[in-house]
Amino acid sequence: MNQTSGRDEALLAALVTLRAALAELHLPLSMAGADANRAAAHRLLAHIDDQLLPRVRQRGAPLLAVIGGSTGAGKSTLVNALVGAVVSPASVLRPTTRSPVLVHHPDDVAWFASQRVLPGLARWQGTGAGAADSVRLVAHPSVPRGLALLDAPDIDSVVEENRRLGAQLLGAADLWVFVTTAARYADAVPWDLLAEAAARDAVVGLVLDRLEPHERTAVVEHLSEMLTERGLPDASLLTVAESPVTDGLLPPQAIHEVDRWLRSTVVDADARERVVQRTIHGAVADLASRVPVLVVAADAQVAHAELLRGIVMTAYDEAFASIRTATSDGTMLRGEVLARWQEFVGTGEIIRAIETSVSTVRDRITAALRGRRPPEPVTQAIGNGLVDVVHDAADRAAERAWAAWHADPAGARLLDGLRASRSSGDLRARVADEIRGWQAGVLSMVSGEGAGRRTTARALSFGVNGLGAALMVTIFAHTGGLSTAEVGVAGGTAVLAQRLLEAVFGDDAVRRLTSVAEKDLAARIEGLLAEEAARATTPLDALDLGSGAGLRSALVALTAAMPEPVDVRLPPEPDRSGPSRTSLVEEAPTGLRGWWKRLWQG
Amino acid sequence: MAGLSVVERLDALDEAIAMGGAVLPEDLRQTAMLVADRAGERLRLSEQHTVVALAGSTGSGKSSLLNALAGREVSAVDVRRPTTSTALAAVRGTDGVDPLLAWLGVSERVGLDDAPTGEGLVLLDLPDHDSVEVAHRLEAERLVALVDLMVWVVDPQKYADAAVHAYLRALTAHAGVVLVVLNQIDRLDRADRAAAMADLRRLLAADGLPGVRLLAVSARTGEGIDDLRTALDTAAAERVAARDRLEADIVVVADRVVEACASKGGPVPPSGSDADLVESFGAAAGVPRVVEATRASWVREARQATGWPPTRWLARFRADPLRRLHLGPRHGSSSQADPAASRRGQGAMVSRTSLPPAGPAQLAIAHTAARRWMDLATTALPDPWVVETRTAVGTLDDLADDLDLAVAAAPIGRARRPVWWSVLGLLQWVLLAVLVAGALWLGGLAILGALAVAAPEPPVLGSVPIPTLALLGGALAGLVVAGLGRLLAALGGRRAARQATAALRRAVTEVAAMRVTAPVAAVLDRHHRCRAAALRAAGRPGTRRRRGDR
Repeated sequence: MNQTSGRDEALLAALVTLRAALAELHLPLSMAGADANRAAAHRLLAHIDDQLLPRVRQRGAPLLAVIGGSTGAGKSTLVNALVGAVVSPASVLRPTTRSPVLVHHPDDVAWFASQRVLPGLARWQGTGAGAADSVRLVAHPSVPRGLALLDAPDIDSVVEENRRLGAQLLGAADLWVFVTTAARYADAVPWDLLAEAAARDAVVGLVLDRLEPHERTAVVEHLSEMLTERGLPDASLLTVAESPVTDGLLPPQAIHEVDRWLRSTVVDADARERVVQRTIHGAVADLASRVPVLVVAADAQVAHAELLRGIVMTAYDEAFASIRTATSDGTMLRGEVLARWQEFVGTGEIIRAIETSVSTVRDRITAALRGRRPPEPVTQAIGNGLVDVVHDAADRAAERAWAAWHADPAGARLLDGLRASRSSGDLRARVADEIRGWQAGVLSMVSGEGAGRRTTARALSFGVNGLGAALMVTIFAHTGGLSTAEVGVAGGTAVLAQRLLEAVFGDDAVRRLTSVAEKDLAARIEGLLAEEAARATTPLDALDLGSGAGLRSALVALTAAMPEPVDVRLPPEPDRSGPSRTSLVEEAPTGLRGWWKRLWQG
Repeated sequence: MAGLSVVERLDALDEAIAMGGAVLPEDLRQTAMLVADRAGERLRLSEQHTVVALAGSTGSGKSSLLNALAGREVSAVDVRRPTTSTALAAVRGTDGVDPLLAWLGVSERVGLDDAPTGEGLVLLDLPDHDSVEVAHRLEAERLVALVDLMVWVVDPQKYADAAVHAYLRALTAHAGVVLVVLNQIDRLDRADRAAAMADLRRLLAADGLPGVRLLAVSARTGEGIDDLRTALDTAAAERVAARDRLEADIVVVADRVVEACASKGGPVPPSGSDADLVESFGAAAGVPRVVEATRASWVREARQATGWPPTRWLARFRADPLRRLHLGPRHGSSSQADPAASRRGQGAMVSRTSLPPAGPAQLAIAHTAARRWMDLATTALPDPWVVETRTAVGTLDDLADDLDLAVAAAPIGRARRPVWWSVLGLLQWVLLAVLVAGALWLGGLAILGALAVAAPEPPVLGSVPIPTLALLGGALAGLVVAGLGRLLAALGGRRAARQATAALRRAVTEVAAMRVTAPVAAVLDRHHRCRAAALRAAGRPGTRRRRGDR
């Protein structure tokens, strides 16, 4: 066994890192090409596990020659002939080999009985049918030491399991023995696999099996052309003539070429080392050329997830903004709230009449507050209105976000039917709770303010409820109240309420109270909408996105540890403030933004 | 297949696609149109000919088989793969075959010997579909979609290839026009043959083609070729393959449309449950306010007409609440005559009301109600159709405008002045006249008394002099009548309010219909018709017609 050099150790470490990074790469969003990239990552991972890692760890281990190819091409018959005994059943029924058979020299058993190569497959011995994903070990003295033959399932039959396993086993091969026939050699599926062998610079022996004498010249010539065309100019083209099978075995002269080629690879240490060297180098170069695509894909996934998240956040930001507008420009005071307020302080006409004269107003209100209607209807009307507005805004945001996701292929996959296109079922109850909490807060604030001052007596005379209602009314016409075109009735109402409060608490206190109450309401609504937004982004949070960072650094390490320098182009680091995300979030008014930044960062 | 002809099925499919519109997936619509086009073209072309394609893998012996069927070498056979790059047609019966071949896009043709039956037959030797030449696959796929009868040629090496079975799996509806041929049977001995045929039969059953016709032949030795020839001749003689194929194509597409129009339970009637919707739309339209104004307006008018004349003028100082809202009979000029017309067509001519625009809370309630109503009405629909209803209804952003216009155009406060107003009004004047007469009389007596002129004693009714009675009685009666007028005005006002409520409710219902219920009902109807038509096209039962299905 050769000692692993320092270079090999660096390569090994780099491969282990890369393997870990690949294993963590899930590419969960169904973006364009994601399926292909996932499959590619899976293949690379299998390749690292099955062939590259064991080979770099132990260069001296026996070479694994995988006999793979199309169904019906005669793989099992060839293996049997090479071994000189029926180790793998052959039949006219397709596909024949369903469980792979590994034939090795009895002395090499330790190499294959362990999970050193093909760690995903169970080992078993004896005859009969094996379980899926298992490999049958057969020891036979006629196999040369240092070489093992693996009879793989076909790569193109109707049995999907066979196709997958066949391709995986070929990926694990040190020597590709690819079996085809005169009828098959132009099939598309095998050539896809051979393209992979070409990319990996693998040592390929192409066996043209079941060849009728009259076909030989033309087919061999055409096949050589095709091999050269398709990047496998130095593949060995080996022919096996169609021969009668006796006792399940082809005559030795038929497989002479194949046998000689296989033995030539292990005839001396140099030949072996050349194969090993070339296999490792080709495989690593192939890895290094394929990983950048995955890095880009991983980064694209992260960016796209942020885009989807941004869509949701924008929708809820806008919902919040629309609630802000509705609750500050005085329009909330129309309708029910206004009616109740007018009942509370008197009739509409009188309010209009007294708008000009504050003193009269105060007298009138004092009268109103002292005895007549309790102010609960006002508070309640405000509460109901707020619940309706918040509920509607949340529904609207949900529908918008849903529609935007629905229009995006990756987003559409994350949606579970129409559920997320409406706000959550208990939202109304939660909003009502929050609004009640806010109103209780306002009332206690007002009573606290009243208790702490000389104004206590006056405040008490107006009643805490009345003052609380007045404060809420003031908030709703806070910004626009006195100057906009909306002034009209609502503005008058607000003026009235404000004057009342100022009379009781004084200007400064009123300003402070309104500001506190306003912030409290905003915070509560923001919290509710944030919960809704979080619900909408749950499918995203559930994804294991990862990022290209791990892969990128592993690739750098691998490039450094390459057996020979290979030109690898690293994809650029993604721009953290990529245009997609910023454009969406920048547009949005503030509001939820702070919250979502916190969420995103921590 | 049940009942309908290919043409009827095609019409049904067309209708289903038209009704489905953008709700159906884009690729399904494309496929459906392609199938419809293809079927239309094929039906116009020669019915004398049956087009048979020899399809299969490279090297399975399609060309050899064609040569064996023709009895001579018409197609080149080579050991180099893939061999055939463009399709070759072997034609029997030249009548009307040219346009058919032109439609198929096959230019290479050879003649076949006439068969005893004399029926037209076109045998196509297709390129392979599994070789490295992608162009071959595309050409083969194109032709496989067009031909009447498909003969899939496999061989002992390749009969289990996924590349073949992927195609066969998509042809489960086409079992009647598919024939599978295991070629190169001479390569197997007798026992292996039976085993291979049984295995192939098993694979075909797994593909969903359990009863498909399966023949074992050898192009090299001629074994089984006669059976194959007979099968093809029979198909040509029956001349049903073309129709069967088109029907199968239509059924496949129609089944997909049916799937896209699946219905979770029966259709929910979209009307009848819209009370909540109308109620909240009404609130957003300010209906309660208008009703109250109508009532107040009525009472004001009634008082003005029947009040005590000396104080009647006071009522004039109060503005008419209805007019203040820019509503009512004396406002505008044209719209009163035909309110229905103004609501329908000339909405733009109706001026806006001065109602305060609906607040965010009312609009929120209206939007929420609309959403709830839509969700209820579309519970039975599959998701894409629900999305379609939502698109049809839209965001309702300008709902407030529509409601305002509807209220402005509603016929409110237009009731005729009741007769009793005039009667009481006249009575008031009479009573006032009596009062004045009494006053004048008493005044005259007082003047005469002051001048010490002897005046005749006024007549006495009971113990009260008549002028006194007239003065006091007139005043008292006037007040009583005014009170009665007020009572009646209150009752009339309530009635006017009821009428206004009804009128406004109608107007609001119309808005709800225009903006929400009608668009949703239209989508529901489209869904139903799409499904019914697709079921008809697929030849499936359950195509009962629903009420309202015109």
